[in-house]
Amino acid sequence: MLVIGGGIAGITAALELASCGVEVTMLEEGPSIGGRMIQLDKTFPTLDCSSCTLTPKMVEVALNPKIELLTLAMPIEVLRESRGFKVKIRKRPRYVDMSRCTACGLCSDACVMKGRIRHEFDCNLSKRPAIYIPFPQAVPQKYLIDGMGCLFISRGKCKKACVDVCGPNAIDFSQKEEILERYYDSIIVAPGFDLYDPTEKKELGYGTLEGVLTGLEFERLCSVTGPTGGEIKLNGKVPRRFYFIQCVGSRDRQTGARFCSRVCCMYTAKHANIIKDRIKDAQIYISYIDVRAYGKGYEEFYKNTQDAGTFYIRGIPGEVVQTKEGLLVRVEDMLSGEIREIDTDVVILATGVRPHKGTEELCNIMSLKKDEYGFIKVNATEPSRTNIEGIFVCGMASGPKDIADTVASAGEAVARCMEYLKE
Amino acid sequence: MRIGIFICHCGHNIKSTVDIEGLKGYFKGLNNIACVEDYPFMCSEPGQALIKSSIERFGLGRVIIAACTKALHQDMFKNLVRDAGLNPFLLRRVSIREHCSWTGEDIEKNTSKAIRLIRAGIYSSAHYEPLEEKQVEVNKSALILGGGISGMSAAAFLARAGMEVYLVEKEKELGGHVRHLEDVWPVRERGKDIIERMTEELKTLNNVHIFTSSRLVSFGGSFGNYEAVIENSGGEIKVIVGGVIVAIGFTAFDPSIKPELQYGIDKRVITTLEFEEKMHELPIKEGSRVAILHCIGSRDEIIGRPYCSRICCINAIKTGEAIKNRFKDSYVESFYMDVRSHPRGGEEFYEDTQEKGLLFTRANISEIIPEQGGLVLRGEDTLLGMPFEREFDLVVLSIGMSPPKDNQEIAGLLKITLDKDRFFLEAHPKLRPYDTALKGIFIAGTCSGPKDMEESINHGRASAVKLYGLLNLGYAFIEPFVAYVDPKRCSGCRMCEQACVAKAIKFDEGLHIVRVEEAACMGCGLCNATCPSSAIALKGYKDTIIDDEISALTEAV
Repeated sequence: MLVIGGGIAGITAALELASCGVEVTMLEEGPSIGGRMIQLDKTFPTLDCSSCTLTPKMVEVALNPKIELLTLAMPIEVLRESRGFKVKIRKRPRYVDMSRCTACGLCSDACVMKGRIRHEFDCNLSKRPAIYIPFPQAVPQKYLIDGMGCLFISRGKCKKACVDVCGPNAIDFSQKEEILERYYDSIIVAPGFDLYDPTEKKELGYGTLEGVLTGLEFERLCSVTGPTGGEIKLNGKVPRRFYFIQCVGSRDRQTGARFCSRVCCMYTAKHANIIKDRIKDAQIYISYIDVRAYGKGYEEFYKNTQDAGTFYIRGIPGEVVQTKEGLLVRVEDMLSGEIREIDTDVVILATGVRPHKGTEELCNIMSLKKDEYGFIKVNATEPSRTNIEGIFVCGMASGPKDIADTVASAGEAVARCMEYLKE
Repeated sequence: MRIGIFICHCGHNIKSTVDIEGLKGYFKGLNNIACVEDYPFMCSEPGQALIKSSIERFGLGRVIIAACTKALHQDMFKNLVRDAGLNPFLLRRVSIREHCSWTGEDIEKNTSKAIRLIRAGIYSSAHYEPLEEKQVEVNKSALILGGGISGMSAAAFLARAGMEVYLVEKEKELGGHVRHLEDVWPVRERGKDIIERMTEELKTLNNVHIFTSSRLVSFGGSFGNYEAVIENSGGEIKVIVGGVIVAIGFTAFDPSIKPELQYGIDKRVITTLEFEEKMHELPIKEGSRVAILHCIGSRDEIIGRPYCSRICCINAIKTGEAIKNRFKDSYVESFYMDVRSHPRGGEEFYEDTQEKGLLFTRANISEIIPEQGGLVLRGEDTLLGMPFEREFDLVVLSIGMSPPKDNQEIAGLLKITLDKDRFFLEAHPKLRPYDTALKGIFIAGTCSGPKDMEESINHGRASAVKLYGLLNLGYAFIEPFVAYVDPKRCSGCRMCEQACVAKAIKFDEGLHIVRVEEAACMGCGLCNATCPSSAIALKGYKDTIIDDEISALTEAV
């Protein structure tokens, strides 16, 4: 069995398959499994720490004898062979010998590029060296060299301080891209999602105004593994006034997305809760169209957020502008019918869900059908079945889902897979 | 004895309200404490590596992990300790997150409490003994309670995987609520057709045993060997099953408890379910005025339904669409608080229906006044901030999901828990959404909270996979916390025998003492509490362990 994607959907699928006695190979295109969920500080509606619930599952994947984990790996060709598939996998070099690296971290400190390369895991809010581990709880616990950032690999010139400090001699610049050829009986695809890039919505000021962030960026600011160690700080200062805007890139024809992203209402309410917990005198506004608190305990969470003093304004702001003291949000409050101008320090955009950028390529090589937005097409009575026999999908790849729904969809995909194997 | 203490920061959770350095300082250098370590996430790979290497390096005899509650990650930490060569029952978890850092913000008090709790862990674990988990045979069979879409989905999977399945449905036929839907969104099929297709499929599988008009009357045993008695007109049938999936669904909300809506009093007020069943018989024609009310029996704290029912917005839109499709010139207005058309394709459906002329008004409806000419809706338009009265010919109430009627009974029989809204409680809302606290017992579909059809199918099949994963080997390991008898102390009074719910205690006539049948013992401890001569105790929970724990908790810091 092949599972593509190492987020919570892929992790759940791999572990369930393994518990049913099936051998699994998991491909993750990044250096660590964990997906989007591991980037989160907390999860709604219980405010459970995301790492605390997910890291044990990641470790289970790494330790499970039935699961083979390949990171920095993606399929490049999938061909039907009898009932199964012949799969070509491209494995990018890590430039670090996994069997030797002890994750001591000396190489990162020594790297001349330290603090100079934008760190994707932190939504580019922090800088990292060229040899690094994406986050402290990464699985596998192994460092890697980013070929683009490394001076030696990209330009052939560097004093290679990392090599000097590495006790176990784990750094190996001679590693090359590998192509593996394997046969699998069935495939589960779980490539996950990306978030809408709100730069094109110029009126909201993302990318041009200081203090306008996306929800995921804010999540990293709150996270203890994030750029500020979990202190909500912008440019060294603790902001007091927050303005959240929901449905940015969801329910919005202009951005090509008519659909509801299903998670932004609740993650915004969660952010408001985190702020109230850490900044006692914070002033928080949330702009919304409809608050979609549909899951178990969500409505109560939304109510509690309101009761704790967060103001909900029905109406999406027309613009965000710079003032001397910070930012100003202009919004028509549809309930009072007034145009309001609200001063704030931070504007956080609850950006909607998009198919992960690799999804299109995956669909191409596997001939999977997509819906009008690029999510993998399924139907409601067989929620993980794709148009190709033997290939199943779970998680956000087939459309927005929260974590609980993603977990259930992963179980469903495993059920279909097991049935396919028995047929 | 060499004891290692491992303190987790849990990111912010513990570190921000407990003085980790203070804790370390207190325990470092105490007698028998070989090491005191801390790490941001003990559960992560480096955290686990730290514990493992410390066990090996210091030759630890006891491991104290001060972190989250034992309810989380226990198996993982046990495996870790086992891998490091230590008996896993010499591990002690101390909850300094739920019991200290989450209870208040006073760092001094939290730290002092954490010291007491860790100390209690040290004192009691000193009396721990290495124990072995027992391997028991498990039945590759499942009991599924509820023959709705979720239960049927689960049954089909398990049967195809080769397990014996007993599917119990209290109604005459399978299919639950879906069977009665005229138009299932988004597949736009008759519910009956979907159900009959699934029923036909189940009938082709000869290891599915379907019991309709039947109910569960008694339940006992333990994981892998649960005993269930099913009752129907034919009498009682006893089955032994490895696990159970509870999928008893929901009850449609009965709006008659809200008299201001006139439901049950005026025939012109109906529910979405009734609309679905008798759409073609309703007196709707071109020009008819129809109101659809959202959130009936949902988001309503006064009647004890504070939750969102998740499906009623789509049902309301579907109702409006059905009317507009048949009668273009009807006037259909939907009154909502928020439109929650979140499912895949739901938002598009909402927009397209608006384009067909379905009107949406954000409003609170206070009452329906029956008049000769029509039903007058009185309410407040919350966008305009204005009160209004409007007359309609028909009012459709988009009703929510209430907990299943048999919830209390099933919860009692299976010893599983209900949540505050009286749906079944899941083990973890995110990562274990269909597990219960009991091994091998799952809750699928709407009995754990409102869900649409797709989500119910996912739940049914996902829980079935999990159950299959637990049973497919034919054996499993169970905890060794069983009762044992000190023959010198036992007076043969047999009080424990009466107290034992698992019928695991047998009286030995010859020796005039009792014995414990370990395979049957559930480890509940009732015998322990009943014994007047302290002759029977639970392995791992000896009196000395508890006594020392209490004294450590009460001693001054």
